Amino acid sequence: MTQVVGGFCKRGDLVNALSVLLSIGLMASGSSFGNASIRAESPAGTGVVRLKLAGNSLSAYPYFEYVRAINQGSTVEVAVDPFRYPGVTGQRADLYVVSHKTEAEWAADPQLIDVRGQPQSVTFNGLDIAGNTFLVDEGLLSGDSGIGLGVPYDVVLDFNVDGLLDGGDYIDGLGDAAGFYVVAPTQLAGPLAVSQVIYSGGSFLGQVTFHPTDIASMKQLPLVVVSHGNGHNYLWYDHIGNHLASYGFIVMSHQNNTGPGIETASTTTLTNTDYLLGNQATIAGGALNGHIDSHRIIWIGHSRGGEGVVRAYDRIFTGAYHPSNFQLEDIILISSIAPTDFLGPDMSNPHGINYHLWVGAADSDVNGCASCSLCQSFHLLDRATGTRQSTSLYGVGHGSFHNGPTGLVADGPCLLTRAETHQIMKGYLLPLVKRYTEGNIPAKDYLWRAYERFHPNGVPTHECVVANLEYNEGSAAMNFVVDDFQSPASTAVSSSGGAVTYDVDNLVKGQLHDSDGSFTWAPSDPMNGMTVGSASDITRGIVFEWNTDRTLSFEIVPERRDVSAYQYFSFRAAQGTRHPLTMLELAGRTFTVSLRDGNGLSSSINVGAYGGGIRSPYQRTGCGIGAGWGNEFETLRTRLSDFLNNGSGLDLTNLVAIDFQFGPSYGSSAGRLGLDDVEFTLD
Amino acid sequence: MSSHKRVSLAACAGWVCFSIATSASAADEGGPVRDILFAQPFRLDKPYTHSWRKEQPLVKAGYLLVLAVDPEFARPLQTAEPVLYVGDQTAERINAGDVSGRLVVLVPSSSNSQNDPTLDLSKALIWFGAPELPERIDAARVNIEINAALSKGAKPWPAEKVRVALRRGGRALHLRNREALEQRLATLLQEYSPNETDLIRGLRVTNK
Repeated sequence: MTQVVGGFCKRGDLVNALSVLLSIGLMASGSSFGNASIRAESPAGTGVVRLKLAGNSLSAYPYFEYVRAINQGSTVEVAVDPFRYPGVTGQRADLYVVSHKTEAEWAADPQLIDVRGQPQSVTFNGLDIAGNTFLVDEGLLSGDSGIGLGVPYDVVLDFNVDGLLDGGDYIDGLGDAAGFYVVAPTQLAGPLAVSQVIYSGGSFLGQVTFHPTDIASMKQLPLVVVSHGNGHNYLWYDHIGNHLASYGFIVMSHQNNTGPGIETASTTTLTNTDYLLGNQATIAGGALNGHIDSHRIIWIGHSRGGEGVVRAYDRIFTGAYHPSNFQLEDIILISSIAPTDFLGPDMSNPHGINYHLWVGAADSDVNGCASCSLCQSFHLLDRATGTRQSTSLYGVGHGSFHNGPTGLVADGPCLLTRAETHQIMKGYLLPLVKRYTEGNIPAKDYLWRAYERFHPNGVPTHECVVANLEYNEGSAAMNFVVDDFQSPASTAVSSSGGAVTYDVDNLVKGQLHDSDGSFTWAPSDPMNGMTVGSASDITRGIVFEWNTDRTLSFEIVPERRDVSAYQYFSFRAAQGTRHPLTMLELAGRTFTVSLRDGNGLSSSINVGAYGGGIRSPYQRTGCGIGAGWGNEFETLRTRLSDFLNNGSGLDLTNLVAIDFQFGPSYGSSAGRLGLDDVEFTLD
Repeated sequence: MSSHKRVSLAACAGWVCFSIATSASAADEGGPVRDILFAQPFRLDKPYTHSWRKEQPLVKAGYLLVLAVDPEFARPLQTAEPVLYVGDQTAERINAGDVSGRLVVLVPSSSNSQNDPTLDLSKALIWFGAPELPERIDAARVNIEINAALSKGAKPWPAEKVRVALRRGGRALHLRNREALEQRLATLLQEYSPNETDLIRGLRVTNK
């Protein structure tokens, strides 16, 4: 077997591998270089090669990361892998960064106008992707898109140097999506002046609504409803209201009847949403009338209110409640902040709605301890079957999320202040709501890219700031799930039917639920630290460990071996809290993911290339003996084309196995991990 | 709470009250409910739903109470909190009280032919029961909690204290509806728990 690790062949004949790659590169590009002759006769776009060009270099294989969102003030680079696109070798081109155009716009006007003032001349003399990487912007490109998110740019390599996009040119763009987007700091207020109005429709119908002051000149705007937690107040979410309204949202925060419980709280979410929609003609003197888009409603709830919004959705879903002024499909996103789980899987269930979860690892109320099932917020996330995502922050307490006069309600080391928490909240909240109200493209990067590699520019980044992100598009996304570990029970077979082979130690497949009520490590509770599901939930995964070189392999079943249509390889993993191998070194755990094809070729990427690996548990004490809080999963997604860089030769049309390789030859020397949701995704 | 002697209990009909004969003279002021400071009966023309109980009864009469409580004990939680009972009823906690040590609560009661509340505060236990969501508490659970409280020595507040609280409360309120009642609650909060400014502000908002 020829195995390429870190871009270098460890074994086998490099020349043979390269010959395979050259052919694959041509196939992958869909077009060979040098079709300039069709330029004059063809509409713009004909003969043009579409590919990813923009991103940033990495210090390890695959040496370059193609991305969609780049922070304003950060560098932008362009890279072409000469193995995948051999036609570029030795060629010179004018590299343009241009304002994005759709395909139709390019056809109408193929002229290239560089937003930097003039194009730069580049020559592809490099032997690999790193040698063909060019700095194209030092952080000067504007990300100011007003109330939008992301200024779209395309990158064009004008090989015939005629100043037009035409045959033979390469472009990152040429579609609905731009090549890349420069994004302004999302935690900063938007350009719109904001007004707020406080009113009441009666008992538990008190509301404060934030809206753009000039709403009279605007069309319909999405509605964000905020349902507070117990002992909290609806006036404590002005940081959310002002922020989102400054970007063109209407945000209503309401009195929430949380004292009696979740069912009652869910009722006030429902009645308040109905009240606003049904009384917009009179509220605020009618300022909102006709400007609320009742088909784009987002519910945000905090703690009991965070469960309440999920329960409210469930009540409509099951037909137990019938709103007067909206319906189930009008709710497009639910975001729960540190929610409780009083009601369990049958009643607090997000079903197929887009679902987002905030968790503060230092929360001393909804604390996440294994002994308190209703305190484990992650249950709700895992019940969601639509696109689900979470943002978990170390050092953040329960009270840090609101803006009230109470304390942080926090316990643990390295606490973040409320102001720091709000910076991060606002920075992620804007992309979250933009993603689901507008389908904003760069917003998606915020939802899954490792915090240490990409986050809103200007949010706190000191050593105490650790964020774990999960992202999964759910069962409707037509992804290829290699193994979600739900069935069969055997550790030797994946859920997609392929063989699972391994020599990692102590591999156990089971419910992702800590069953002994303590985070103290005990071999009798292999799922120690897992709070993904309650005892009543069905979510499953595996745990295992290593302290020397070890492998865990998933066979790809024959009928699914062509994965070339997928864009990313994805999985989620978490360190096992308080386990001796975790405690050996409180640091991120890295390892290598190898994709192996039917020709015996393998391409490998160390997950540390994109960030810090799987982060160590938050070092909070309590909930048993020792330090380390719950096992926090984070999703790692790798662009499949990254495995092709530098002549890996990998045949994505005939992939036979995924090998997770652990140990000193592949990353961290020892560790214990949980693993779940191994899949190929379309986007 | 400390133990007590010779307690007997009888239930009234409707909004059941307790007839407790006890040789013990006073409630234990060292418990989380430290005093009864204010009591005012009310009746409403339009009933509201008492959501702090599983049966969700309609309320036309009851009491506004202000209790002195252990602030730490009253601190709001997202997890299950100790449920506050008055007689055989769950009380609706209006405020947090974790700073002021003062809880303003609404206690539903049955009413007589004049629509005045029939709950006799001088005979009613006032105590925090086991942690639970009040919306899950039904009559059976209330009885369990009553027995648990009695076994721990709970006693009604001395009649004199109740008289003082009622005197402070003044004459019965006759209001149109819950919203009007909330204006009165806001006034009480301003007096007894003024730090809860946002809650007070929210209760006072009436206009669209």
